[in-house]
Amino acid sequence: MERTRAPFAALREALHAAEERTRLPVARLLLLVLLLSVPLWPMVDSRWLRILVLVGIFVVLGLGLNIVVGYAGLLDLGFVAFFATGAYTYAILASPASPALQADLNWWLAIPVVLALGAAVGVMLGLFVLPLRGDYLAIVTLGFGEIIRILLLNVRGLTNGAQGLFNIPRPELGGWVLRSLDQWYWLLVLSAFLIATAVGRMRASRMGRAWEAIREDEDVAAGMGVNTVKYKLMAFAMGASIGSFGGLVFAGFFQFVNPSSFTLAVSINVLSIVVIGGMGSTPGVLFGALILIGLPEVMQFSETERLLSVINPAVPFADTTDWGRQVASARFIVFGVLLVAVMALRPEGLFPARRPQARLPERHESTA
Amino acid sequence: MRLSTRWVRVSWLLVLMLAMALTVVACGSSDDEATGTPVATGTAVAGGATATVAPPESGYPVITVGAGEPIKIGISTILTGDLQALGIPIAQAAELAGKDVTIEGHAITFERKDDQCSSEGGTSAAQQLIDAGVVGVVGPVCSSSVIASQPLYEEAGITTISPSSTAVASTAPAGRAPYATFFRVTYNDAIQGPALAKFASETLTAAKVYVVFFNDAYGQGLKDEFEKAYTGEVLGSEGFEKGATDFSSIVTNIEQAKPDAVFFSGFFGEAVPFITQLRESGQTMPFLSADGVRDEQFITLAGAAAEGAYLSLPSPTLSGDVYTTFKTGYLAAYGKEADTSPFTAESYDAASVLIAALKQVAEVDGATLKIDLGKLRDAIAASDLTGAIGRIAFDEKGDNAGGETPVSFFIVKDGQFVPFEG
Amino acid sequence: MFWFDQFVNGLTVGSVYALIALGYTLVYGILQMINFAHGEIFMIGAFAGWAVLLLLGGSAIAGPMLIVALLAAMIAAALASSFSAVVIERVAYRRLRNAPRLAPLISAIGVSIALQNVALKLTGGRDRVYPRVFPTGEVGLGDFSVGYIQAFLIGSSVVMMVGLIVFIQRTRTGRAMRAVSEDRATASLMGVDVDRTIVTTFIVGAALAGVAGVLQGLWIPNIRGTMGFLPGIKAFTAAVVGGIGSVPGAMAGGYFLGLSETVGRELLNELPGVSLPNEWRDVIAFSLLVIVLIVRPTGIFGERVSKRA
Repeated sequence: MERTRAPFAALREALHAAEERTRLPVARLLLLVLLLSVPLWPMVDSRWLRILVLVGIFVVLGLGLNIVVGYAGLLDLGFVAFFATGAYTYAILASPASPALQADLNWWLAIPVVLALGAAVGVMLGLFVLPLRGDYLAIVTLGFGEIIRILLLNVRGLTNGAQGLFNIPRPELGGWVLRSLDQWYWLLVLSAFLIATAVGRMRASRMGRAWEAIREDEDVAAGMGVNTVKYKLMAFAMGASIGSFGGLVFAGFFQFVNPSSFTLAVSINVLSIVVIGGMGSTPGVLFGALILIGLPEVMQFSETERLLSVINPAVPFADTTDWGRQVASARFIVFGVLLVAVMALRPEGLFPARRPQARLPERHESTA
Repeated sequence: MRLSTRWVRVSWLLVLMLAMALTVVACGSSDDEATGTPVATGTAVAGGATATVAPPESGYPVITVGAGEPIKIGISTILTGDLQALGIPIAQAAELAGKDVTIEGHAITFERKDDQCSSEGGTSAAQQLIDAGVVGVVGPVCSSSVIASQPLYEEAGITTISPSSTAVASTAPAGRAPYATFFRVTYNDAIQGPALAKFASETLTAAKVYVVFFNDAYGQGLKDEFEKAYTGEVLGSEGFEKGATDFSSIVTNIEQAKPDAVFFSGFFGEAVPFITQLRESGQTMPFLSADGVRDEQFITLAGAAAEGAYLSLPSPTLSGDVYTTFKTGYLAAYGKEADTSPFTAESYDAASVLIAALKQVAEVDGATLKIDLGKLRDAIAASDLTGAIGRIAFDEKGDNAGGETPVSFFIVKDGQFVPFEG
Repeated sequence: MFWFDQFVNGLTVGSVYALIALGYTLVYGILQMINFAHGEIFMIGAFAGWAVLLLLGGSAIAGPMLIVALLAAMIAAALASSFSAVVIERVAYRRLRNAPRLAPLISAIGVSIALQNVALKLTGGRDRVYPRVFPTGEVGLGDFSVGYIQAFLIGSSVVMMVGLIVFIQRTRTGRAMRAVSEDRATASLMGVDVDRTIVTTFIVGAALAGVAGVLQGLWIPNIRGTMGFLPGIKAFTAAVVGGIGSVPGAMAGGYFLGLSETVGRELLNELPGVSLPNEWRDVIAFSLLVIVLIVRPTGIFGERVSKRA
């Protein structure tokens, strides 16, 4: 163990030193460059990229929920409501199939609209649930998510009901249309990076400390003079805003929305990503999304099937078809078992969040 | 009150944000009008119904099948979740059509991908099939997967033939021409809905009906077409969600409204509890439903309650030589009857159309085989053959216009679907 | 009698919710965890009861044999559900007892997804159907009549709930359960075997859900791998409305939810200009939930939660 850990420690030291010297988040920038280079890797084809785009959307959602659940400790089981808000806002304002209005809104101009509307919906929900705690909060948010989905189904004059809204335009800027998978991937990496940075700053600020206080004990926090109402609403607004942005990307990428994409399963997936990754941890969200969203898809890749077929004769499992196909069709069983296993082995998640530490600019304080 | 002042402030914040949002929307739309340039996509064609089909922007690729390698056909269907009982037989039926077929010495293999009947699953399956180098695709099964994946297949120049997508939008997308690379074997809701309405008012002589529908793309779509065409009075129209079990409240409403007939737009999974509760509460009015319920499981599960139910199928009564070949072949290969599950014959035909077109356009080039996907698409568009469900020939939008009596009716009698003649 | 019928409909579906909700509330009371896999316990019970009914002759069951068969099916369902719950508790929850609050929730979600998909794989995604052995017909006076099966369902659930209250209030084990739910550490110091009490709680809750599965099967006929998910969510809602952790609360919550979906919706439809067909059912149920919780933030029978955020 020690031997494998040593190079990492050395690397961390080196990065740390570089950060001290340049006053830049060197480690984070390196990670960004690494992530941005993924489409250039030889093994990465469009299948991988398409999955990575979906993973990226869930990273964005995870970062949003992380504020609500991870930082402020407010258990939200209806996060899909914000995702739907973003996706449908853009779809209604941009799709030619939209029955109510033809606004032809440009995707890029939709960003501020969606962020603001998302925040507004977040505050609205926040106002409703202010007096609620813990699992009472969980069930009301779950209900809120379901209500939004049923509204999308039933308010057909606006949403086109179960048929959904299609041919939603791609992002377009002065004639340049965002269409290839690597462009979408880069857009997502950059926006996730920006969001993660912004969220990191919020967390290190007064607001972040207020959230932490609320999470640890709301009554004590209020007693210590933390304006719990304001900061709880802020958490909902921020989380909802980010979640809506995820929806905006979803609508622009798939060019089609219908209510069956906005079920409770999405809320459960995002929550699982946050908890499996480690509550309040940003790298946790990244890895959580990679595992929970990426794995079920990769498990039905032809390569995986072929790989498993090689071991097939050794295992008496297959009936009429080969083992690879069996595993591909049983991948949600594996998914469920995986959730149980990760929690059993790492109850704190894969990358437990470290508390933010205020570091003084001068080094002489930390000679020890 | 500290709280109340907060609420006031927050409300202001809300109002402000909304105002901001609205301003941006207004700016956004006026912006586009001002520049007035037709946006680069250039696909907005007026009058979707009569529009001509636009070819894919990037053209069609030519796929080379190496010496001794098989030709790959993709299948996009539902392999997991509670609709797998619908999706797996569809895949099996398609695979049956390619069994033992060789084209210039090349066998045919099928790549199955799970689209989970969702838009995300549909696109993911599409990407995997495109990257696997398939020459054509049978599927997707569900309209939501179809609509989400159409742009991808179109861009890759790969033709898809859906056995079962009944949504009108699949061949008549809003704001653009129909996709050149999409065809479907089954008939859409716009044909089945009016036929059901006519059946209700003329054959059942029902002046008042009560409508119960599955609140999804299929149930809503078919119900809309039915209500549009029905000349009598719709006393009530109530929706339910996937997995609904308790219909007692709707049944009580029906008891109160006293309709002449009940029209159910949905799948057998929910039709079973509904008709059981309806019949056990003593209601005897005719029950009318469509293809989603015309499944062997409806009879096995609902038993006595299913007796006397009227069901439609958007295809002629299945008979004929090809159907017999398919039926016996299916039974031999999978050990069960093909008609226990809907859309198997359609799937067999979709694969057959694809294979027949492949035979026409595959060109031998030394030891390899060259398949021009553009020519393949045109051959599919021009196909005219007799399949298990009858004659198949596509119109310019990609709908099957081959059948002469596209909607047939059945009645459940002694635990069997019996063709019902007026 | 329209209103009477709708009231009975509400009670019927409410009984199923209440029986499942009891399992949520018992486990929550003792471990403060949401046992998300409880809906699947209900599903397992339904399948076990179905298997027993088929073994005993399926639709040929009649006469006095019917009572034996129904009892056997319910007992088998209770056993199968309890056994599954014990295994799940041992495998997925026990080691997470002192873990962060959301870890057991995610583990439970994992169990739920895995069990659903295993059941779907085993059944090939095809529904199974309960033999229609229960006599059809109605009991009651004139307009005020109830179908046999609905009467049986409501009646048996009431009997079971009374049994549960007696069990909790009057037996040693029941007292131990109450003690552990009050204060686990102190109960342990007073000589209560905490592990055993927790397992007992899971068994009791699961048995109720298993029997609920059989009752629903007798009423609805078709059963499937995903049948537990929706009732599970509804029952969880019911438990929270009633005040999670409170036994009378879960019962009240179940009936409240069942009645609001049926009578509540029809009452709203009586208002001028309001038309809320069945597709709005869950919106009404969840809106009422929000209203109840805004008025009483800890549910109808809940105690004030101060520390736990």
